[in-house]
Amino acid sequence: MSRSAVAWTSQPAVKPDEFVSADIYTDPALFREELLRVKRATWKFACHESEIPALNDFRTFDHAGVPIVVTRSGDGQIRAFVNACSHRSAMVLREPCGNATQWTCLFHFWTYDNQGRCTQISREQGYEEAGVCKEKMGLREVRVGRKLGLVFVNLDESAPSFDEYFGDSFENLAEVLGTEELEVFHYHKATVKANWKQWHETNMELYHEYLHVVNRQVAMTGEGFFDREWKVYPYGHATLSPMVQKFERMKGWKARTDKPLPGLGPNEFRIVTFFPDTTIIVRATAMRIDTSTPIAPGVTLVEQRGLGIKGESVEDRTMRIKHHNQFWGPFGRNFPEDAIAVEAVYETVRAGAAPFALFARHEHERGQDDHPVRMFYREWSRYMGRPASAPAAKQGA
Amino acid sequence: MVEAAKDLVALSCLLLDEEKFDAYLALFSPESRYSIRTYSPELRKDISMLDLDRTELGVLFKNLPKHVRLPGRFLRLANGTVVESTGDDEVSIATSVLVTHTDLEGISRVFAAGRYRDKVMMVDGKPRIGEREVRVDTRQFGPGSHIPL
Repeated sequence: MSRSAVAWTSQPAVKPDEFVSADIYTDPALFREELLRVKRATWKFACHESEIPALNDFRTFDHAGVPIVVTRSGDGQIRAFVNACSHRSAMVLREPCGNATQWTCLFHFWTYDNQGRCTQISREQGYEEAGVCKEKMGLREVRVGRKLGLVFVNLDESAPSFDEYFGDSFENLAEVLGTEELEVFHYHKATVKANWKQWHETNMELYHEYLHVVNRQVAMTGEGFFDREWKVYPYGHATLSPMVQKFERMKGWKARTDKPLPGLGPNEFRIVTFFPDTTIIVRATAMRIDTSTPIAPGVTLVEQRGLGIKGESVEDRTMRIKHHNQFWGPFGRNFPEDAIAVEAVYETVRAGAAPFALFARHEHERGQDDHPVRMFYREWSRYMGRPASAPAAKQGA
Repeated sequence: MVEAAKDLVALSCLLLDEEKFDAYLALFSPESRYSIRTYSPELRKDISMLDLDRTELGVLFKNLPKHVRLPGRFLRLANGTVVESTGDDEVSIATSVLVTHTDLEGISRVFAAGRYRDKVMMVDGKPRIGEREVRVDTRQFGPGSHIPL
Protein backbone atom coordinates (compact mmCIF):
# COMPACT_ATOMS: atom_id res chain seq x y z
CA MET A 1 0.00 0.00 0.00
CA SER A 2 1.03 3.60 -0.34
CA ARG A 3 2.61 5.49 2.55
CA SER A 4 1.63 8.61 4.46
CA ALA A 5 3.92 11.63 4.71
CA VAL A 6 4.98 10.54 8.18
CA ALA A 7 5.81 7.04 7.03
CA TRP A 8 7.60 8.39 3.94
CA THR A 9 9.81 10.71 5.95
CA SER A 10 10.45 8.34 8.85
CA GLN A 11 13.78 6.57 8.88
CA PRO A 12 13.56 3.25 7.06
CA ALA A 13 13.10 0.27 9.39
CA VAL A 14 16.46 -1.18 8.44
CA LYS A 15 19.89 -1.03 10.02
CA PRO A 16 21.56 2.41 10.02
CA ASP A 17 24.15 1.35 7.45
CA GLU A 18 21.47 0.08 5.07
CA PHE A 19 20.26 3.52 4.06
CA VAL A 20 21.60 7.04 3.66
CA SER A 21 19.96 10.39 4.17
CA ALA A 22 19.41 12.35 0.96
CA ASP A 23 20.96 15.30 2.77
CA ILE A 24 24.37 13.85 1.96
CA TYR A 25 23.62 14.55 -1.69
CA THR A 26 22.05 17.98 -1.38
CA ASP A 27 23.16 19.87 1.71
CA PRO A 28 25.55 22.69 0.70
CA ALA A 29 27.31 22.73 4.08
CA LEU A 30 27.91 19.00 3.96
CA PHE A 31 29.15 19.38 0.40
CA ARG A 32 31.73 21.96 1.42
CA GLU A 33 32.75 19.83 4.38
CA GLU A 34 33.20 16.66 2.37
CA LEU A 35 35.41 18.49 -0.14
CA LEU A 36 37.78 19.12 2.74
CA ARG A 37 37.34 15.99 4.81
CA VAL A 38 36.88 13.35 2.11
CA LYS A 39 38.01 14.56 -1.29
CA ARG A 40 41.06 16.54 -0.26
CA ALA A 41 42.08 13.92 2.31
CA THR A 42 42.14 10.92 -0.03
CA TRP A 43 44.17 9.81 -3.03
CA LYS A 44 42.71 11.15 -6.25
CA PHE A 45 43.28 9.67 -9.70
CA ALA A 46 44.97 12.39 -11.76
CA CYS A 47 45.93 10.90 -15.12
CA HIS A 48 47.58 8.02 -16.87
CA GLU A 49 51.34 8.32 -17.35
CA SER A 50 50.84 8.17 -21.12
CA GLU A 51 49.24 11.62 -20.90
CA ILE A 52 52.60 13.06 -19.88
CA PRO A 53 54.98 10.82 -21.84
CA ALA A 54 57.82 13.27 -22.46
CA LEU A 55 60.04 15.24 -20.13
CA ASN A 56 58.42 18.58 -19.28
CA ASP A 57 54.93 17.43 -20.27
CA PHE A 58 52.17 18.62 -17.97
CA ARG A 59 48.49 17.93 -17.47
CA THR A 60 46.10 20.16 -15.51
CA PHE A 61 42.82 19.34 -13.85
CA ASP A 62 40.52 20.34 -11.02
CA HIS A 63 40.47 18.32 -7.83
CA ALA A 64 37.73 19.24 -5.38
CA GLY A 65 37.93 22.88 -6.38
CA VAL A 66 41.72 22.97 -6.36
CA PRO A 67 43.48 23.42 -9.71
CA ILE A 68 46.29 20.90 -9.99
CA VAL A 69 49.13 20.46 -12.44
CA VAL A 70 50.87 17.12 -12.81
CA THR A 71 54.14 17.16 -14.68
CA ARG A 72 56.99 14.94 -15.70
CA SER A 73 59.69 17.30 -14.59
CA GLY A 74 62.93 17.78 -16.44
CA ASP A 75 64.64 15.28 -14.12
CA GLY A 76 62.09 12.61 -15.06
CA GLN A 77 60.22 12.65 -11.76
CA ILE A 78 56.46 13.03 -11.82
CA ARG A 79 55.40 15.87 -9.55
CA ALA A 80 52.21 17.73 -8.81
CA PHE A 81 51.53 21.26 -7.64
CA VAL A 82 48.60 23.47 -6.87
CA ASN A 83 48.25 25.41 -10.10
CA ALA A 84 48.15 28.83 -8.46
CA CYS A 85 50.72 31.59 -8.51
CA SER A 86 52.38 32.36 -5.19
CA HIS A 87 51.80 36.07 -5.81
CA ARG A 88 48.11 36.83 -6.41
CA SER A 89 46.94 33.21 -6.87
CA ALA A 90 46.18 33.43 -10.59
CA MET A 91 46.02 30.08 -12.33
CA VAL A 92 49.46 29.66 -13.87
CA LEU A 93 48.80 26.99 -16.49
CA ARG A 94 45.47 27.39 -18.21
CA GLU A 95 45.82 24.74 -20.90
CA PRO A 96 44.67 21.15 -20.27
CA CYS A 97 48.13 19.92 -21.22
CA GLY A 98 51.40 21.05 -22.72
CA ASN A 99 55.17 20.90 -22.56
CA ALA A 100 57.25 23.57 -20.85
CA THR A 101 60.26 23.84 -18.61
CA GLN A 102 59.20 27.23 -17.24
CA TRP A 103 55.70 28.27 -16.30
CA THR A 104 54.98 31.99 -16.37
CA CYS A 105 51.94 33.50 -14.70
CA LEU A 106 50.09 35.77 -17.11
CA PHE A 107 49.35 38.38 -14.46
CA HIS A 108 52.76 39.76 -13.41
CA PHE A 109 55.16 37.34 -15.11
CA TRP A 110 56.22 35.47 -12.00
CA THR A 111 57.82 32.31 -13.34
CA TYR A 112 58.36 28.77 -11.99
CA ASP A 113 60.27 25.76 -13.22
CA ASN A 114 58.54 22.42 -13.41
CA GLN A 115 60.05 21.36 -10.11
CA GLY A 116 58.00 24.07 -8.43
CA ARG A 117 60.81 26.54 -7.85
CA CYS A 118 60.11 30.20 -8.39
CA THR A 119 62.68 31.31 -10.96
CA GLN A 120 61.63 34.86 -11.65
CA ILE A 121 59.87 37.65 -9.82
CA SER A 122 59.48 40.67 -12.03
CA ARG A 123 61.48 43.58 -10.55
CA GLU A 124 62.19 41.50 -7.46
CA GLN A 125 64.03 44.31 -5.70
CA GLY A 126 60.70 45.92 -4.87
CA TYR A 127 60.06 43.10 -2.42
CA GLU A 128 63.36 43.39 -0.54
CA GLU A 129 61.85 45.46 2.27
CA ALA A 130 59.09 42.86 2.78
CA GLY A 131 61.49 39.95 2.65
CA VAL A 132 59.78 38.34 -0.33
CA CYS A 133 62.17 36.54 -2.67
CA LYS A 134 62.20 33.73 -5.20
CA GLU A 135 63.60 31.23 -2.73
CA LYS A 136 60.47 31.53 -0.55
CA MET A 137 57.88 31.73 -3.29
CA GLY A 138 57.83 28.25 -4.84
CA LEU A 139 54.60 26.52 -5.82
CA ARG A 140 52.68 24.43 -3.32
CA GLU A 141 53.73 20.82 -4.00
CA VAL A 142 51.19 18.01 -3.80
CA ARG A 143 51.89 14.39 -2.92
CA VAL A 144 52.05 11.99 -5.87
CA GLY A 145 51.60 8.22 -5.94
CA ARG A 146 52.03 5.97 -8.98
CA LYS A 147 51.09 2.41 -9.73
CA LEU A 148 50.69 0.49 -12.97
CA GLY A 149 50.83 3.68 -15.00
CA LEU A 150 48.17 5.44 -12.94
CA VAL A 151 49.07 8.73 -11.29
CA PHE A 152 47.30 9.80 -8.11
CA VAL A 153 47.63 12.94 -6.00
CA ASN A 154 46.81 13.73 -2.41
CA LEU A 155 46.42 17.24 -1.02
CA ASP A 156 46.62 16.07 2.60
CA GLU A 157 50.18 15.81 3.83
CA SER A 158 49.07 13.78 6.86
CA ALA A 159 46.98 11.27 4.90
CA PRO A 160 48.01 7.60 4.81
CA SER A 161 50.76 6.73 2.38
CA PHE A 162 49.83 5.71 -1.16
CA ASP A 163 50.85 2.08 -0.51
CA GLU A 164 48.93 1.88 2.76
CA TYR A 165 45.84 3.49 1.25
CA PHE A 166 45.55 1.21 -1.76
CA GLY A 167 47.04 -1.97 -0.25
CA ASP A 168 46.23 -4.96 -2.47
CA SER A 169 43.29 -3.32 -4.21
CA PHE A 170 45.04 -3.31 -7.60
CA GLU A 171 45.41 -7.10 -7.64
CA ASN A 172 42.74 -7.65 -10.30
CA LEU A 173 44.39 -5.02 -12.49
CA ALA A 174 48.05 -5.95 -12.13
CA GLU A 175 48.28 -7.91 -15.37
CA VAL A 176 45.84 -5.72 -17.26
CA LEU A 177 47.68 -2.52 -16.53
CA GLY A 178 51.18 -3.79 -15.91
CA THR A 179 52.03 -6.26 -18.65
CA GLU A 180 52.14 -4.01 -21.69
CA GLU A 181 52.60 -0.27 -21.94
CA LEU A 182 49.19 1.31 -22.28
CA GLU A 183 48.07 4.67 -23.57
CA VAL A 184 44.92 6.73 -23.39
CA PHE A 185 43.05 6.92 -26.70
CA HIS A 186 39.78 8.37 -25.46
CA TYR A 187 39.05 11.20 -23.06
CA HIS A 188 35.59 12.49 -22.42
CA LYS A 189 34.12 14.87 -19.85
CA ALA A 190 30.47 15.11 -18.96
CA THR A 191 28.68 17.38 -16.55
CA VAL A 192 25.97 15.38 -14.85
CA LYS A 193 23.20 16.97 -12.79
CA ALA A 194 23.59 14.75 -9.75
CA ASN A 195 25.78 14.43 -6.69
CA TRP A 196 29.25 12.93 -7.15
CA LYS A 197 28.46 10.07 -4.76
CA GLN A 198 25.38 9.15 -6.75
CA TRP A 199 27.57 8.83 -9.81
CA HIS A 200 30.05 6.65 -7.97
CA GLU A 201 27.21 4.53 -6.58
CA THR A 202 26.48 3.39 -10.14
CA ASN A 203 29.89 1.77 -10.17
CA MET A 204 29.22 -0.16 -6.97
CA GLU A 205 25.48 -0.78 -6.86
CA LEU A 206 25.34 -3.35 -9.63
CA TYR A 207 21.69 -4.12 -8.93
CA HIS A 208 21.20 -1.24 -11.35
CA GLU A 209 22.38 -3.38 -14.24
CA TYR A 210 18.68 -3.87 -15.00
CA LEU A 211 18.86 -0.32 -16.35
CA HIS A 212 21.06 -1.36 -19.27
CA VAL A 213 19.69 -3.52 -22.04
CA VAL A 214 23.27 -4.34 -22.95
CA ASN A 215 23.97 -5.68 -19.47
CA ARG A 216 20.72 -7.58 -19.39
CA GLN A 217 21.71 -9.34 -22.57
CA VAL A 218 25.47 -9.77 -22.38
CA ALA A 219 25.98 -10.11 -18.65
CA MET A 220 22.89 -11.06 -16.72
CA THR A 221 22.26 -14.08 -18.91
CA GLY A 222 25.86 -15.17 -18.48
CA GLU A 223 26.88 -18.09 -16.35
CA GLY A 224 27.71 -17.12 -12.79
CA PHE A 225 26.51 -13.54 -13.09
CA PHE A 226 24.71 -13.59 -9.75
CA ASP A 227 27.49 -15.58 -8.09
CA ARG A 228 30.26 -13.05 -8.54
CA GLU A 229 31.67 -12.04 -5.16
CA TRP A 230 32.74 -8.63 -3.95
CA LYS A 231 36.07 -8.36 -2.22
CA VAL A 232 36.59 -5.26 -0.16
CA TYR A 233 39.82 -3.69 0.99
CA PRO A 234 40.76 -1.27 3.75
CA TYR A 235 40.04 2.38 2.96
CA GLY A 236 36.92 1.60 0.95
CA HIS A 237 38.10 -0.03 -2.27
CA ALA A 238 36.42 -3.07 -3.81
CA THR A 239 36.62 -5.51 -6.67
CA LEU A 240 34.27 -8.08 -8.06
CA SER A 241 35.41 -11.55 -9.03
CA PRO A 242 35.88 -11.76 -12.81
CA MET A 243 33.25 -13.29 -15.05
CA VAL A 244 32.82 -14.17 -18.68
CA GLN A 245 30.20 -12.21 -20.55
CA LYS A 246 28.47 -12.95 -23.83
CA PHE A 247 28.92 -9.79 -25.87
CA GLU A 248 27.57 -11.54 -28.94
CA ARG A 249 24.17 -11.76 -27.29
CA MET A 250 23.60 -8.08 -28.02
CA LYS A 251 22.04 -7.94 -31.44
CA GLY A 252 24.66 -6.99 -34.02
CA TRP A 253 27.59 -7.29 -31.62
CA LYS A 254 30.41 -9.79 -31.72
CA ALA A 255 32.18 -11.86 -29.09
CA ARG A 256 35.31 -10.32 -27.63
CA THR A 257 37.50 -13.34 -28.00
CA ASP A 258 40.37 -11.89 -30.02
CA LYS A 259 43.04 -9.65 -28.54
CA PRO A 260 41.69 -9.25 -25.01
CA LEU A 261 43.73 -6.93 -22.83
CA PRO A 262 46.67 -8.54 -21.00
CA GLY A 263 45.78 -11.06 -18.33
CA LEU A 264 42.21 -11.43 -19.46
CA GLY A 265 40.49 -14.38 -21.00
CA PRO A 266 38.07 -14.02 -23.90
CA ASN A 267 34.96 -12.02 -23.01
CA GLU A 268 36.21 -11.45 -19.46
CA PHE A 269 34.85 -8.64 -17.32
CA ARG A 270 36.51 -7.00 -14.32
CA ILE A 271 35.74 -4.03 -12.15
CA VAL A 272 37.70 -2.29 -9.40
CA THR A 273 36.39 0.72 -7.50
CA PHE A 274 38.66 3.00 -5.52
CA PHE A 275 37.38 5.18 -2.71
CA PRO A 276 36.12 7.78 -3.10
CA ASP A 277 35.50 8.39 -6.80
CA THR A 278 37.41 6.27 -9.30
CA THR A 279 36.45 3.05 -11.04
CA ILE A 280 38.18 0.93 -13.65
CA ILE A 281 36.06 -1.40 -15.74
CA VAL A 282 37.54 -3.87 -18.19
CA ARG A 283 35.39 -5.60 -20.78
CA ALA A 284 37.80 -8.06 -22.38
CA THR A 285 39.19 -5.94 -25.20
CA ALA A 286 38.36 -2.49 -23.87
CA MET A 287 38.69 -0.66 -20.60
CA ARG A 288 37.82 2.66 -19.13
CA ILE A 289 38.86 4.70 -16.11
CA ASP A 290 36.05 6.70 -14.60
CA THR A 291 36.60 9.47 -12.09
CA SER A 292 34.53 12.41 -10.95
CA THR A 293 34.94 15.89 -9.56
CA PRO A 294 32.22 17.58 -7.52
CA ILE A 295 31.21 21.00 -8.84
CA ALA A 296 28.18 21.60 -6.60
CA PRO A 297 25.92 19.33 -4.55
CA GLY A 298 23.91 18.55 -7.67
CA VAL A 299 26.56 19.00 -10.34
CA THR A 300 29.35 16.55 -11.04
CA LEU A 301 32.07 16.54 -13.64
CA VAL A 302 32.66 13.00 -14.86
CA GLU A 303 35.87 12.15 -16.70
CA GLN A 304 36.31 8.93 -18.61
CA ARG A 305 39.37 7.57 -20.33
CA GLY A 306 39.71 4.64 -22.68
CA LEU A 307 43.05 2.84 -22.96
CA GLY A 308 44.75 0.63 -25.51
CA ILE A 309 48.11 -1.02 -25.91
CA LYS A 310 50.81 1.35 -27.03
CA GLY A 311 52.18 0.41 -30.43
CA GLU A 312 49.39 -2.00 -31.31
CA SER A 313 48.33 -2.27 -34.94
CA VAL A 314 45.85 0.14 -36.46
CA GLU A 315 43.47 -2.78 -36.84
CA ASP A 316 43.69 -3.72 -33.16
CA ARG A 317 43.34 -0.13 -32.03
CA THR A 318 40.31 0.35 -34.25
CA MET A 319 38.73 -2.72 -32.70
CA ARG A 320 39.46 -1.50 -29.18
CA ILE A 321 38.03 1.95 -29.88
CA LYS A 322 34.90 0.39 -31.35
CA HIS A 323 34.44 -1.86 -28.33
CA HIS A 324 35.06 1.05 -25.98
CA ASN A 325 32.51 3.20 -27.76
CA GLN A 326 29.89 0.47 -27.71
CA PHE A 327 29.55 0.97 -23.95
CA TRP A 328 31.14 4.29 -23.09
CA GLY A 329 31.64 7.81 -24.30
CA PRO A 330 28.80 10.26 -24.94
CA PHE A 331 27.35 8.08 -27.71
CA GLY A 332 27.93 4.73 -26.02
CA ARG A 333 25.00 2.53 -25.10
CA ASN A 334 25.55 2.55 -21.31
CA PHE A 335 27.00 5.93 -20.38
CA PRO A 336 23.87 7.96 -21.22
CA GLU A 337 21.70 5.51 -19.30
CA ASP A 338 23.77 5.86 -16.14
CA ALA A 339 23.69 9.65 -16.45
CA ILE A 340 19.95 9.77 -17.10
CA ALA A 341 19.32 7.47 -14.11
CA VAL A 342 21.33 9.45 -11.57
CA GLU A 343 19.82 12.72 -12.83
CA ALA A 344 16.38 11.18 -12.31
CA VAL A 345 17.34 10.42 -8.72
CA TYR A 346 18.65 13.90 -8.10
CA GLU A 347 15.39 15.39 -9.38
CA THR A 348 13.56 13.91 -6.41
CA VAL A 349 16.16 14.38 -3.68
CA ARG A 350 17.20 17.94 -4.53
CA ALA A 351 14.34 19.54 -2.59
CA GLY A 352 13.73 16.76 -0.11
CA ALA A 353 10.89 14.99 -1.89
CA ALA A 354 12.64 11.71 -1.28
CA PRO A 355 14.51 11.71 2.02
CA PHE A 356 16.45 8.44 1.86
CA ALA A 357 18.27 6.03 -0.42
CA LEU A 358 18.12 2.35 0.43
CA PHE A 359 21.17 0.11 0.25
CA ALA A 360 19.76 -2.89 2.06
CA ARG A 361 20.33 -5.72 -0.40
CA HIS A 362 22.12 -8.70 1.11
CA GLU A 363 23.17 -11.54 -1.17
CA HIS A 364 26.16 -12.96 0.66
CA GLU A 365 28.34 -10.17 -0.77
CA ARG A 366 27.68 -11.30 -4.33
CA GLY A 367 27.39 -9.12 -7.40
CA GLN A 368 24.12 -7.35 -6.70
CA ASP A 369 24.63 -7.13 -2.95
CA ASP A 370 24.85 -3.52 -1.73
CA HIS A 371 27.87 -4.50 0.31
CA PRO A 372 30.36 -2.21 -1.51
CA VAL A 373 28.03 0.77 -1.19
CA ARG A 374 27.59 0.17 2.54
CA MET A 375 31.35 -0.13 2.83
CA PHE A 376 31.76 3.10 0.86
CA TYR A 377 29.46 4.93 3.27
CA ARG A 378 31.16 3.45 6.32
CA GLU A 379 34.37 4.92 4.99
CA TRP A 380 32.67 8.22 4.11
CA SER A 381 31.22 8.33 7.63
CA ARG A 382 34.65 7.74 9.11
CA TYR A 383 36.10 10.69 7.22
CA MET A 384 33.11 12.90 7.91
CA GLY A 385 32.71 11.94 11.57
CA ARG A 386 28.98 11.35 11.14
CA PRO A 387 26.80 8.56 9.80
CA ALA A 388 25.53 8.89 6.25
CA SER A 389 22.11 7.87 7.54
CA ALA A 390 21.93 10.83 9.94
CA PRO A 391 24.51 13.38 8.79
CA ALA A 392 23.06 16.25 10.81
CA ALA A 393 24.37 14.69 14.01
CA LYS A 394 28.12 14.54 14.27
CA GLN A 395 29.36 11.40 15.91
CA GLY A 396 30.07 11.94 19.59
CA ALA A 397 28.14 15.22 19.67
CA MET B 1 25.22 17.17 -58.07
CA VAL B 2 26.13 19.88 -55.56
CA GLU B 3 22.53 20.98 -55.18
CA ALA B 4 21.43 17.38 -54.85
CA ALA B 5 24.03 16.86 -52.14
CA LYS B 6 22.83 19.92 -50.25
CA ASP B 7 19.27 18.67 -50.43
CA LEU B 8 20.42 15.29 -49.18
CA VAL B 9 22.06 16.85 -46.12
CA ALA B 10 18.91 18.82 -45.36
CA LEU B 11 16.78 15.72 -45.74
CA SER B 12 19.09 13.71 -43.50
CA CYS B 13 18.60 16.30 -40.74
CA LEU B 14 14.84 16.25 -41.11
CA LEU B 15 14.58 12.47 -41.06
CA LEU B 16 16.83 12.09 -38.04
CA ASP B 17 14.99 14.86 -36.19
CA GLU B 18 11.75 13.02 -36.82
CA GLU B 19 13.34 9.70 -35.85
CA LYS B 20 12.46 8.14 -39.20
CA PHE B 21 15.44 5.88 -38.91
CA ASP B 22 14.75 3.55 -41.82
CA ALA B 23 14.33 6.46 -44.20
CA TYR B 24 17.47 8.10 -42.78
CA LEU B 25 19.45 4.91 -43.24
CA ALA B 26 18.24 4.65 -46.81
CA LEU B 27 20.12 7.88 -47.57
CA PHE B 28 23.41 6.03 -47.02
CA SER B 29 25.08 3.94 -49.68
CA PRO B 30 25.56 0.22 -48.95
CA GLU B 31 29.28 0.65 -48.24
CA SER B 32 28.94 3.85 -46.24
CA ARG B 33 30.38 4.82 -42.88
CA TYR B 34 29.16 7.16 -40.18
CA SER B 35 31.45 8.60 -37.51
CA ILE B 36 31.58 11.26 -34.81
CA ARG B 37 35.04 12.64 -34.11
CA THR B 38 36.67 15.53 -32.37
CA TYR B 39 40.06 16.84 -31.43
CA SER B 40 40.92 16.33 -27.78
CA PRO B 41 43.11 19.13 -26.43
CA GLU B 42 43.62 16.97 -23.34
CA LEU B 43 45.24 14.19 -25.38
CA ARG B 44 46.50 16.36 -28.23
CA LYS B 45 44.99 14.03 -30.81
CA ASP B 46 41.77 13.14 -32.55
CA ILE B 47 39.37 10.84 -30.80
CA SER B 48 36.50 8.79 -32.14
CA MET B 49 33.20 8.77 -30.32
CA LEU B 50 31.30 6.62 -32.80
CA ASP B 51 32.38 4.86 -35.98
CA LEU B 52 29.93 2.54 -37.69
CA ASP B 53 29.35 0.99 -41.05
CA ARG B 54 25.87 1.05 -42.50
CA THR B 55 24.93 -2.33 -41.06
CA GLU B 56 26.08 -1.31 -37.60
CA LEU B 57 24.21 1.97 -37.88
CA GLY B 58 21.08 0.00 -38.74
CA VAL B 59 21.58 -2.23 -35.70
CA LEU B 60 21.99 0.83 -33.51
CA PHE B 61 18.63 2.14 -34.72
CA LYS B 62 16.94 -1.23 -34.27
CA ASN B 63 18.14 -1.43 -30.68
CA LEU B 64 17.06 2.11 -29.78
CA PRO B 65 13.62 1.20 -28.36
CA LYS B 66 15.32 -1.01 -25.78
CA HIS B 67 17.40 1.83 -24.34
CA VAL B 68 16.58 4.39 -21.68
CA ARG B 69 17.00 7.55 -23.73
CA LEU B 70 17.25 11.23 -23.02
CA PRO B 71 13.64 12.48 -23.04
CA GLY B 72 12.80 15.25 -25.48
CA ARG B 73 13.79 15.80 -29.08
CA PHE B 74 16.71 16.96 -31.15
CA LEU B 75 16.71 19.51 -33.93
CA ARG B 76 19.56 19.70 -36.44
CA LEU B 77 20.20 23.06 -38.05
CA ALA B 78 22.54 22.64 -40.99
CA ASN B 79 23.64 25.35 -43.36
CA GLY B 80 26.67 27.08 -44.79
CA THR B 81 27.56 24.21 -47.05
CA VAL B 82 30.99 24.45 -48.65
CA VAL B 83 32.00 22.27 -51.57
CA GLU B 84 35.41 20.78 -50.90
CA SER B 85 35.86 18.73 -54.06
CA THR B 86 33.85 17.41 -56.95
CA GLY B 87 34.19 14.48 -59.28
CA ASP B 88 32.03 13.00 -61.99
CA ASP B 89 29.81 11.09 -59.59
CA GLU B 90 30.97 12.28 -56.20
CA VAL B 91 31.10 15.50 -54.24
CA SER B 92 32.66 16.24 -50.88
CA ILE B 93 30.86 18.90 -48.87
CA ALA B 94 31.14 20.38 -45.41
CA THR B 95 28.05 21.72 -43.68
CA SER B 96 27.95 23.59 -40.39
CA VAL B 97 25.51 21.98 -38.00
CA LEU B 98 24.05 22.96 -34.69
CA VAL B 99 22.06 20.35 -32.77
CA THR B 100 19.61 21.57 -30.18
CA HIS B 101 17.82 19.48 -27.60
CA THR B 102 14.39 20.44 -26.32
CA ASP B 103 13.37 18.71 -23.11
CA LEU B 104 9.89 17.72 -22.01
CA GLU B 105 9.40 21.11 -20.33
CA GLY B 106 10.04 22.84 -23.65
CA ILE B 107 13.45 24.16 -22.71
CA SER B 108 15.88 24.16 -25.62
CA ARG B 109 19.63 24.24 -25.37
CA VAL B 110 22.53 23.69 -27.71
CA PHE B 111 23.52 20.05 -27.55
CA ALA B 112 26.31 20.01 -30.12
CA ALA B 113 28.08 22.23 -32.61
CA GLY B 114 30.18 21.00 -35.48
CA ARG B 115 30.25 20.13 -39.15
CA TYR B 116 29.00 17.34 -41.31
CA ARG B 117 31.76 16.31 -43.67
CA ASP B 118 29.99 14.25 -46.30
CA LYS B 119 31.01 12.36 -49.37
CA VAL B 120 27.96 12.16 -51.56
CA MET B 121 27.82 9.85 -54.55
CA MET B 122 25.30 8.68 -57.07
CA VAL B 123 23.93 5.20 -56.43
CA ASP B 124 21.43 3.87 -58.93
CA GLY B 125 20.89 7.38 -60.14
CA LYS B 126 20.21 8.80 -56.68
CA PRO B 127 22.49 10.84 -54.43
CA ARG B 128 23.57 8.86 -51.37
CA ILE B 129 25.90 9.51 -48.45
CA GLY B 130 29.00 7.42 -48.91
CA GLU B 131 30.70 8.73 -45.80
CA ARG B 132 29.59 11.08 -43.06
CA GLU B 133 32.00 12.34 -40.45
CA VAL B 134 30.40 14.53 -37.83
CA ARG B 135 33.28 16.69 -36.75
CA VAL B 136 32.21 18.21 -33.45
CA ASP B 137 33.58 21.21 -31.60
CA THR B 138 31.44 20.25 -28.62
CA ARG B 139 33.14 17.77 -26.31
CA GLN B 140 30.73 17.77 -23.41
CA PHE B 141 27.28 16.41 -24.16
CA GLY B 142 25.81 16.21 -20.68
CA PRO B 143 24.25 12.78 -20.38
CA GLY B 144 25.07 12.02 -24.00
CA SER B 145 22.76 10.51 -26.58
CA HIS B 146 21.88 7.12 -28.00
CA ILE B 147 20.92 8.79 -31.29
CA PRO B 148 23.67 9.95 -33.65
CA LEU B 149 24.04 13.60 -34.47
